[in-house]
Amino acid sequence: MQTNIASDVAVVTPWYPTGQRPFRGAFVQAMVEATAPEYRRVTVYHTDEWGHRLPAETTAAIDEAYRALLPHGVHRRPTVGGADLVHLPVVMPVTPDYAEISRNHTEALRSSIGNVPLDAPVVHAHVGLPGGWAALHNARPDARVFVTEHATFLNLVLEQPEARAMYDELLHRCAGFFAVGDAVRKPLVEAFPHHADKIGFIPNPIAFDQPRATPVTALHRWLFVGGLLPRKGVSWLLEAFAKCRAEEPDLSLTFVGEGQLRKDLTRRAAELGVTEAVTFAGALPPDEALRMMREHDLLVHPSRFETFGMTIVEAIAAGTPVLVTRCGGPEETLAGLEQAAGELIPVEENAESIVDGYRRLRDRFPHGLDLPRAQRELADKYSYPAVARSHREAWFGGAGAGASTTTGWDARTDG
Amino acid sequence: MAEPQVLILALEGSRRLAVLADVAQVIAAGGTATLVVSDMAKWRREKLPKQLRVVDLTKLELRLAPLAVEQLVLVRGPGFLFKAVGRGPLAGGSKKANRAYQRAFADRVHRRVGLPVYRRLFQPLYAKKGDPRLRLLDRYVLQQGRFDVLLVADPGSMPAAATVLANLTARGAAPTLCFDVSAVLSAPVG
Repeated sequence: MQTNIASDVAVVTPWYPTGQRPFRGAFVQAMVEATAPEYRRVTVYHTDEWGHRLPAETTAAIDEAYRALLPHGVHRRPTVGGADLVHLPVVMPVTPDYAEISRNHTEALRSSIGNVPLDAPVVHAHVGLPGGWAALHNARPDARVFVTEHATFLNLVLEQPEARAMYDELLHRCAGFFAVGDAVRKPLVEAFPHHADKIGFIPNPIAFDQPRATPVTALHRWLFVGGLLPRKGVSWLLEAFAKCRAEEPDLSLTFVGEGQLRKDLTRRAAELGVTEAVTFAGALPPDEALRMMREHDLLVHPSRFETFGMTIVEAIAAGTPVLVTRCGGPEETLAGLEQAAGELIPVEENAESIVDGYRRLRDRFPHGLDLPRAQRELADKYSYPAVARSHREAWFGGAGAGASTTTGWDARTDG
Repeated sequence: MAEPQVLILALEGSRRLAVLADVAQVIAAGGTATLVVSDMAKWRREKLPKQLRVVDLTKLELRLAPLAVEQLVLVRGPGFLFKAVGRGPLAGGSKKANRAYQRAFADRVHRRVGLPVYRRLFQPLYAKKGDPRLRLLDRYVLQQGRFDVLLVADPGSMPAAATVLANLTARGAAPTLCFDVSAVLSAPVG
């Protein structure tokens, strides 16, 4: 829906796709693509962290040069949805200190925009620390700041006293705060019960307008999309695949993604005698990954923890059934649709749970599933128009619309 | 920006994927890219397009007098002798012997003796006037061409970028500074 709201919106995010990390923050880009067409002007400020481990004696010279160059090196350029993108590096030594990271993002943003406030009445930040903090301290005094939290590392942030205090302040001062799923909201509510009423939900948007050409007829071509990391359960997936393929030689498995386990998985595939049936496609751009979903029969996602599980909804949107672990986000995302969309399995450190889940799904496929219903219900919540509507209601009407932000612009030393 | 001439400073070599993506964009835009690195070994695994000009500051440094003398004695002189001896049927064997000599002796002596001596005795003298490698870059690269865009690709390149920008600006040839090339190749907005 094109409503052309005569207002400006600024988006502040530490994550957005770049040449160095083409997939990082693809969901932020999707949010911008979903929301931006409705507004007069949307500007995305990408505070891109360039961490380094250079010697301390070099750091001072780097810092001095960086501060001098930054205001002259940032440019506005078009991005998705008619929005503009301002990409600015945040140069700093690598540190696990989230308070320090947040201060650096805040300063970089301030310096890059010429030490004036962000010129927008609505500022929407992604990731509480550092994105929310940087937004809060660079928004103009009358602006309302909203935050969406996606981070899987919230536990690390909240165990640092200073970062925890900053997070508390962020929650107190922002106009609205959203988690992308209960896996994110729950630890925040436990840490800050006094802000429980303020922490709502807002999902990542998914494209539902590119279904596969023909429906799946057999669950032969398995697909995994994500990092080849221990947290994603990919080693158990390979073991499970080999067991299932021993019974069904037609099975194949494609890994889309890169990661530290690639070599181990390649070696293990050879040991299991399934090399010819396993493909490592590497990291692919989002459009290519979606095409792969339309060309495979089953998305297997055996992750140990997910805050939302965007890949799962993308697969269903493409008309592909899913075999997925109950790892936080997915069971919430698929609530009421578990049987219609595929099969949910427990998070277990073995291959058997995946094998058993696959057998159950295979035995009731296709009549035990109802993918069109799953698509309709998920589109009501996660499609681009649905997510755009959620943001519009938060920013200009409905929940949070009347709430105000105490921005940090007057308290310049806060940042 | 049509056919941009882009100078990319990637001295740290920590953001190689971003650099490769930027180089691809420059080439696609019909421009030319000159990549400045300080340690070519870090780029060994990367597939650099053949249209890309690479300037290795470590190689450039060999033009400084102490290292140039060392290279004359250690590399170019023996190379000349091998070539003189290896005429006619001896040409193939002479080339092999020269390569073996370079690997087994000249490179090792350069790394273990020549460079440490240079770093300890001569580099502090050169450094009094700033980074000598950047002066060489200025003389042999910047003054020989025109650069529309200066791309700073990693944190370790920031000090060099400040110097390069100052030099070019002083000559009235200030390039557009950026941290990713798509920011300046895209049509300017607003």
